[in-house]
Amino acid sequence: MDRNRIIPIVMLIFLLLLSGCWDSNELNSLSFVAATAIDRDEDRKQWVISFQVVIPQAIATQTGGGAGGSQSPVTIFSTRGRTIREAMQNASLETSRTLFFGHNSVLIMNEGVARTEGVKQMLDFFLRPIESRETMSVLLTKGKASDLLEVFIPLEKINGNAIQRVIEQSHDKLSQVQNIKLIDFATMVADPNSDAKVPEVRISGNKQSQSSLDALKSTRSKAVIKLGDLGVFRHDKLIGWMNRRESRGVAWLSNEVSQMIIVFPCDERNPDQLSSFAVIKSSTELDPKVHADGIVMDVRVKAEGVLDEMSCPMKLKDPDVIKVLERAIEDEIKEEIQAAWSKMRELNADVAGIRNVIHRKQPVAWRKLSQSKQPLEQIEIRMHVKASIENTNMLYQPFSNMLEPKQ
Amino acid sequence: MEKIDKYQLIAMTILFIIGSSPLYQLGIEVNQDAWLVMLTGMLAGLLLLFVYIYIQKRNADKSLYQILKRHFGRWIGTLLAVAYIFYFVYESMRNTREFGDIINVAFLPSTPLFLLMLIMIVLSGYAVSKGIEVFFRVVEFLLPITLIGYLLLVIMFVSTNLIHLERLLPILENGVMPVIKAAIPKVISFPFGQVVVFLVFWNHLNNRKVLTKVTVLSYLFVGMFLLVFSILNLAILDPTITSISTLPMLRSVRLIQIANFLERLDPIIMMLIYIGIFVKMTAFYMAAVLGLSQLIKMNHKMLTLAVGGFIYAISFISPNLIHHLWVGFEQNLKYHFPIFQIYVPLLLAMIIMLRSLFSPKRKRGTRPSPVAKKNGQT
Repeated sequence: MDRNRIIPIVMLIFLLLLSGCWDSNELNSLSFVAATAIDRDEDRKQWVISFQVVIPQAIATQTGGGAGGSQSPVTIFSTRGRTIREAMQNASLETSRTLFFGHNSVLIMNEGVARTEGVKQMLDFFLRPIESRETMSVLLTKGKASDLLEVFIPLEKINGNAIQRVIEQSHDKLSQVQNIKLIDFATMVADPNSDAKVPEVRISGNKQSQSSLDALKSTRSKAVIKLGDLGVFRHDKLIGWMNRRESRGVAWLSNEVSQMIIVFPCDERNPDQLSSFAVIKSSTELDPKVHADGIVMDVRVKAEGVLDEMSCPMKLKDPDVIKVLERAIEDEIKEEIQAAWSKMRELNADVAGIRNVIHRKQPVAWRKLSQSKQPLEQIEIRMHVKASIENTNMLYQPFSNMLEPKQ
Repeated sequence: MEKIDKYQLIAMTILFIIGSSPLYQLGIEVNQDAWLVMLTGMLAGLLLLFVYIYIQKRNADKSLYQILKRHFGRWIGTLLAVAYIFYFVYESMRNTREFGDIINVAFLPSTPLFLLMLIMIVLSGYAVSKGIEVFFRVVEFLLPITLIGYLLLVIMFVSTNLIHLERLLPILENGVMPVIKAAIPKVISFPFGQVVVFLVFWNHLNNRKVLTKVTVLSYLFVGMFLLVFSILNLAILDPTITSISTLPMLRSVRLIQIANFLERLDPIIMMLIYIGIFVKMTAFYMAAVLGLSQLIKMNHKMLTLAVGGFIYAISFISPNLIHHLWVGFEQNLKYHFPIFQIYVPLLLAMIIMLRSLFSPKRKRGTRPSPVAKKNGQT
């Protein structure tokens, strides 16, 4: 044979070698995990890992008409093991296909695991293999984590993806909930100058009746998945919870507010009359100053937005009236920040990364601070909040002005 | 003699120094100041680069091996030449093994290492067997692909708001000394000092006047490039996660998510890293082959085969990646590579300088330069 023939043949042989034969994975031999839940059986000292696996046929056959199929689009496995990896490996004992974690979008931890066991082992495991993604959302739950995987969510077929969408859109539209990705969580836990926070997700309603496909046949869901409090960590262990008001304050302190509705009393004499201000743009600057007896942190918040709802009759044309409203909004923001700050001090957990700011801007003072057991006690915050109402939307005057003469 | 032009030299200098370095975070032991380590290493490496250029300028048409023989005498010169050949072979082997293992860790965990490395070494061997001109032309062709690829990554990093530059603060928290200690000699040895291999190629440049300008400018460009990637890594992953990750750059790239569809871009960075590793390992491989061909008279292709087989064989020395990286980063970079990259070239430059100062006769004899002619006329 001449040269011209041998070379193409050799090249073809190499092509065979290049296809990754040893690691080839056929699509129909994989089962895609959409969500993972981690619980722990403390009596037997075992991890209980639950996977929500997508059933491709069930999704593929549904063309229009919502979830009218007869097969559930997902199925759930729970396995046990002494380590997380062992528990996952034990899944092979009961599944017909290899579990594939590349599309796993949420990781739900049980509160007890985070409190007693800590998250370091979990983080190590989920950051190590190449298959798992650093971009999955991390959530905490107060009940059994695997229960959350069983609840069907209207409008979505795969509820693992649905949970992630819920958190993504509340992250965008309502800044009190942060979408904490695995990498952010790991960074917060690893950073010696900040403490981690993770949003809580819960089932509200009757879980049993929402875990069957029949549930989707009724118009009102028997149970919904809902984002709730904010779990606060110190080092790698969960130590407490923050309620909504406090978690909003944390968002202000850590400059994470994008959009938010602030409800404020528009009339001092009548505190039940409430109005809404929609924040459209905001920024928070932290400026630490070193004093003899501690550190004073200037918190400069700027919030720009529009008036979305107005209940009091007022002359909104008048800039002075607008200023009064702005003061009321500012007070509301200040109270939220104060609530968060008191809680942070109480828990001794720096979820807003205050120490990090000091580390970056005042390294000398930070050195002294880092030796203290209760560093937040040595920091005083001074709030300078500036809210500005840019416009009053499509109504120039409050509607209640129309009713004034009648009264 | 085979010739290369200045664009090919630019491409080669840039891709050679890029190599696999963006994948690692050099100098992470000083946390957020790691990028300053890179800067220090680059500036120190620049001084070294001037030493190499000085050596080449004084021996315009000679390769490293001829220079060694000329200035150290026949016996010591040959000995040093052999040592350099082993050094180049070793560097080439390090890149082969490294990439094989990276593929094993990150993409094909159950594919045997011997096969991955065989594919790489065969590809490099093919490039070496075709000679300098072909190899440099290939590199010239690869340069735009690589730079566009890296540029796309930077654009995607910026557009996904992953970069938190405040993570680089405070700068120089513990003073300057830790940074200098981390940079010298480790970051000089990898990647900047590896430029010593160009002493084998520079004499093929068709226009010698542009050597200094082209090399120094390409070096500065690639230094800035590595600095930018070092900063990006720290700003994206935070020094904490960077310090525990095997391949920080790969992790940063995996964080890119654009509009729910442009994500999981690991293959792009792997392709870019492979281009870099291919250029580097082939350059060292070729330098070794060229050196051997000056020592023993043998057919170029046979030498290529022999050296390739040797590189392939010694790439199995390390029992695992951990050992391989430990030897590389903790031993070689500190104690072994500086011999070839710093001490010998400095000694060589000193000898050349002393000779030109104390024996003008000899200089006139070896270099019938215009200066000599002028002296004769006056």
